[in-house]
Amino acid sequence: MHLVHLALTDFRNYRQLDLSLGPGLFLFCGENAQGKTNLLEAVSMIATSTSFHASADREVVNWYAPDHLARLDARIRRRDGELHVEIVIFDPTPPLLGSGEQATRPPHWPGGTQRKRIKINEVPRRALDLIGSMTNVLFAPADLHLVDGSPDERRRFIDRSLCQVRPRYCQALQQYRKIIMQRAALLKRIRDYHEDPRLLDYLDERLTLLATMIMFERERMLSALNELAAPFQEQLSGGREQLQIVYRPSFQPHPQHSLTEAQEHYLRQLHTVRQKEIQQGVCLLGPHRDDLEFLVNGMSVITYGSRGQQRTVALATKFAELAYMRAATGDEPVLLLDDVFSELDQRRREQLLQAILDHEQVLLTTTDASHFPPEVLERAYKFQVVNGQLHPW
Amino acid sequence: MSELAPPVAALIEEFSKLPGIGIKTAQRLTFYVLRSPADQARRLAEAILRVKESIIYCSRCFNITEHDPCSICQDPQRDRQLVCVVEEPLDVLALERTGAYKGLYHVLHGALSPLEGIGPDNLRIKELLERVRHEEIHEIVLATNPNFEGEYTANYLVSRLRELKSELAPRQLKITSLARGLPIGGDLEYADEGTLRRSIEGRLDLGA
Ligand SMILES: [Zn+2]
Repeated sequence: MHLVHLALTDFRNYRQLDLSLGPGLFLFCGENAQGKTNLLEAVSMIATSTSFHASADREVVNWYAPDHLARLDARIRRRDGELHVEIVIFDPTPPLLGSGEQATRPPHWPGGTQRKRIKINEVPRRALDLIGSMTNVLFAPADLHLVDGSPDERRRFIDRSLCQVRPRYCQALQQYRKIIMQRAALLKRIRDYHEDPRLLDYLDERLTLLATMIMFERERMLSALNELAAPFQEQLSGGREQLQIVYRPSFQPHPQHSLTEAQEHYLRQLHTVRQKEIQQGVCLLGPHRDDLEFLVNGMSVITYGSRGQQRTVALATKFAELAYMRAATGDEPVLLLDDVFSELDQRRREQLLQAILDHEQVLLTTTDASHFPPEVLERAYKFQVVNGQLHPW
Repeated sequence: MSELAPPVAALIEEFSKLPGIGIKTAQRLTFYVLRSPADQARRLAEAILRVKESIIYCSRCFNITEHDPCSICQDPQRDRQLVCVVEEPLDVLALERTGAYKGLYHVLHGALSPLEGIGPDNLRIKELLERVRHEEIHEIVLATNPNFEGEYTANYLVSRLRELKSELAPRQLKITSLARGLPIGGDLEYADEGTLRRSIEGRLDLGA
């Protein structure tokens, strides 16, 4: 699939953008803070309805937006037809007026004004319905640290693709995150204010129920990813290396358990750490503490691998993600690369370029176009990004 | 502007104490007030003061009222064996509009949310349990919002009411909840009257 057209109104520093796209490589070049990443953020938002950066959706609304609305409008061509996606995000905070200006419009909005409205082919839809309309794979500098970065990064990696292909997973994960935040706050209140510990019962029930669903999906995705990643690693390493990605869940699973048995099994594990959790005021067990381990020829890459090898593993895993999304949806995801080339050495830069060059649609940002060989620049559609505006060159 | 004038800083600080208002929003609200006409700002300040001075809580059901006890608690036509538990006074209003409910109410004034520092002691839960203990109540209808906080609160109330029930035996106490059909994740006060009427008429026995 690919984006045919993208229009933005008051999205971050884009007051007005009207961009025609199509299959091929699109290169967005510019200094920092000009809006390169914002553009990819917008595309990603069309895929998942939420931002990969902002903690609240309304953060993407430009501060000077006269109606407090950011608008995203995208036309997507999929294998099975065309899709028109519109997202309107509402920021309820009153305007910050320039000096001497009068309030042109009283801040009156109807009571339940929705923060986010989504339409697919002109029909209002829920955020959950949007997921899967357009899939994308994002490759950002943090992804190069998939192996040596924080466990957080590895969980984000799994969640990002799983959420796009399994809306139910996305829903479970959102609910789970809320439970974890509430539960952590409760643990602290039990410790500091002697709050009723029976308040934990409902949260434990919900936590373990959602955990069984989340862990089941992660397990399944990783076994698929493993099969896909092995040949990439072999190819990138000249046939010398066998890659294995191992799921390390925080709850100790029992291979023979059914889902209900698993939940009870996790509840018991939760009970054994309850006192410790109250002392520390944090949730110690659950999918928010899951991790991945990467083994090359049976050895842990983080312990025994070189820096270069860690990068190769990260690349192989991202290529596998792309293949996984393709296999899961039967269509090509849109590939977004946010300034990753400057972080790679010459050899890996070439390997990455080789891998993406023939992809259906690639949107790529860079501060430095000289990273790219002339033949690549020649076939790319190139734009200069300056202060929220695009200039073709 | 290297430093904010103290009155401006003070208003930003007060706004930022309100629920759901971050520092950025507080700044924007403050500058909005600063640029709005003087009488508009005065009306806002007066409305805030008036609500604190003239509105009290009913000592029985904790609904907002100008007289204690409130008109619903005083109404001899109401079924005193039936008490509907809601989060906010606005929910009472929504249920009253349906005309389908003839019992009394109990307003919790919020829902459990450890994250916002709201525990059972911050809600009128103790008072509810006291009412059940001392009044001739035969049915409690849980009508908290169908979102996480509301479900959490209802769940906690069910377990506390169950304990109380064994204490009160052989007196019968039925615990029910509004029938589903309410939009999940929504607020009671936004539900349309028809939906709300159907859910109060078809309430579910929680088998407690
Ligand atoms: Zn009353």
